[in-house]
Amino acid sequence: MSKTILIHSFRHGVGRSTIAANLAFLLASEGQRVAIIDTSTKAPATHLLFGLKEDDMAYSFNDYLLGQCDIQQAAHNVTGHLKESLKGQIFLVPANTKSEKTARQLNDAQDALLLNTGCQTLIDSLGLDALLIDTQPGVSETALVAITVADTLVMILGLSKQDYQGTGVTMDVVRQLDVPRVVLIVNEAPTAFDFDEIETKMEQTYNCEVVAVLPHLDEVMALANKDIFALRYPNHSLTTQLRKAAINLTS
Amino acid sequence: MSKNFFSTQYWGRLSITTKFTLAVVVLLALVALMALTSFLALTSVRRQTEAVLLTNPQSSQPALEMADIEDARRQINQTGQSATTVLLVTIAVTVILAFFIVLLLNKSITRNINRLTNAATQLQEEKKRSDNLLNVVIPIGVALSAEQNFDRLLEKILLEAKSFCHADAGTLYLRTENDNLNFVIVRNDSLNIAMGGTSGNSIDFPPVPLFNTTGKPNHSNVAAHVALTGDSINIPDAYRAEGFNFSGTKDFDQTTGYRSTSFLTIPLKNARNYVVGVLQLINALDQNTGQIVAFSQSLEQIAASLSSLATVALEAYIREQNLRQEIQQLRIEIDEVKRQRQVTEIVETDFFQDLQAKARNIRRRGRSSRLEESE
Ligand SMILES: Nc1ncnc2c1ncn2[C@@H]1O[C@H](COP(=O)(O)OP(=O)(O)O)[C@@H](O)[C@H]1O
Ligand SMILES: [Mg+2]
Repeated sequence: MSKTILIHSFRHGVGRSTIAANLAFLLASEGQRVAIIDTSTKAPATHLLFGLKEDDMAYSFNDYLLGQCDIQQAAHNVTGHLKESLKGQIFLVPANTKSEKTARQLNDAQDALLLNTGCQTLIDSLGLDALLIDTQPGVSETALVAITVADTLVMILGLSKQDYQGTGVTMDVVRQLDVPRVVLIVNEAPTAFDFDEIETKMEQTYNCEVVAVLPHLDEVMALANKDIFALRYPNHSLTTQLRKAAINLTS
Repeated sequence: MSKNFFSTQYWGRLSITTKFTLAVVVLLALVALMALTSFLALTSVRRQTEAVLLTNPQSSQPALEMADIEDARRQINQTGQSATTVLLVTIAVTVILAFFIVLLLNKSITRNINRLTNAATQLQEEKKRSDNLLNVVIPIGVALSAEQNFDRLLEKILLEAKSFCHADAGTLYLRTENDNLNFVIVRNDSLNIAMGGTSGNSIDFPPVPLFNTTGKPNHSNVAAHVALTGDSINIPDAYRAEGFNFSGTKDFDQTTGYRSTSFLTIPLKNARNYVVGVLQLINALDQNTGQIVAFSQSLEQIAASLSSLATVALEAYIREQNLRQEIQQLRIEIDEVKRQRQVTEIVETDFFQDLQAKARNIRRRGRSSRLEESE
């Protein structure tokens, strides 16, 4: 049974795209067939991570919403773009990069059904083991519509006051949309902290499982969304952490 | 920085060795130049004369002017001799020249020779100091940075400094936020006193204020003075020291029968030059006789290096503690009232109600289709 995993956060720039891309890569390297839908039209980055050029994106997710193409037409097989051959396959449904104004976004409740149909079609036609969705952050309508299709929602947060409050609100709202499983990933934790303590405190605060506490690493920052960390540093402890998280999320 | 070769400052900064090397090089260059020119002159004279005499005696003009071969030989010898004389004179002149160059470069040679011997002993001292730094101070610094227990860290700072300086007693003070020096570790070997740290004994000495009640800086207490100025103070005998009030020490001595004599008081200064604590070592003991002596100047320097490493370890510990506290504070930062209000605002909208219904629909369908799949 395929899983739809939504990678969400309250705030921009906490590492949604980075984590989504790494999870997809790690699952595919274990032999799974994975797709990522990038619904974050505001600052799409996923295509960059997989080296997909804008000129090669015939159709985007927004074109599917407009009814200009089938969802399969917007799914690009990016497995060959990677510097390493994988046992599995990675498909990417990128977000529109051209004009944000004209791009159609998920914005009314009816779009939930459209997205759900798209996801089901993609899962069936590509024989997916996992479908990852990179969202628009926060509790905007675009973000909330996407949440309706999630089997698992991964909430990413950093250690900032803004994240604590916003994550609290988002979690409460998400719980009213009957998401079967909601988990947390703490990202960019300063290494000076005691990570076990962060995990316990988070679990207590949000009454929710913490799948991983990931450190802030200059190496990740240096990649600047141009390459996939787990591919570049296969033996790094962060890669091990991400692999564990990937297994946890798909089990 | 431009180098002005003609300024006395520039030459003055050169060491005597450099100056002497310079002079010798000039001298050798002059001698070599002279020798080369004389050699060339001599060879050419000899060649010309001999060629004329031996191979073509009739036709050449110089040969006709000479009476016989002996005469020619004498002439050649004379040329050679005068060349030698010129050479010798040149050497003499260059030696004198070199001497004057050295004199010129160096107003007082003797002073510099003295300096040279001084430098040698100084070099030895420096080497000893750097050896100490490398083999003693830095390992201690590393050990301090690795210490995870704050009490043990404080204790280690005092004990390492005390043992390194062969002090019989010592105190570590930490500065509080309200500018007091608190006694945190006290040790006295001959009185068998161990207070603070891991000893389990509390310290009941009152803290030393850095400022009195009217805000005047307390320069009479040596530890307070060191904390205020950031400079260390080395006192050979507290009872004969002027400018400091050792009444606290004297009270202590009176009740215990101790004789506090030599004091080395060092500030624990951080990178921003703020004094976070004071390290005080008391009664340096002569390693051979066990007699109380003054703290030597070289010990003072090493203790200063040790104290800066100790400060680094202390600051790192405090920083980590603050970071650890921060996470607890951040967790509390959720404004529950606001959170409730924000959630209500979202879920009460028509959009959300609609979406909620759709979500239920999707999930029911998803479940049933999966049910079909598994059947
Ligand atoms: N653990 C990390 N350590 C350091 N930098 C990180 C980490 N995770 C993400 N980043 C950096 O933060 C920036 C934002 O990440 P991104 O994945 O684009 O966030 P989002 O998709 O949530 O907007 C990127 O430049 C990324 O490289
Ligand atoms: Mg992103």
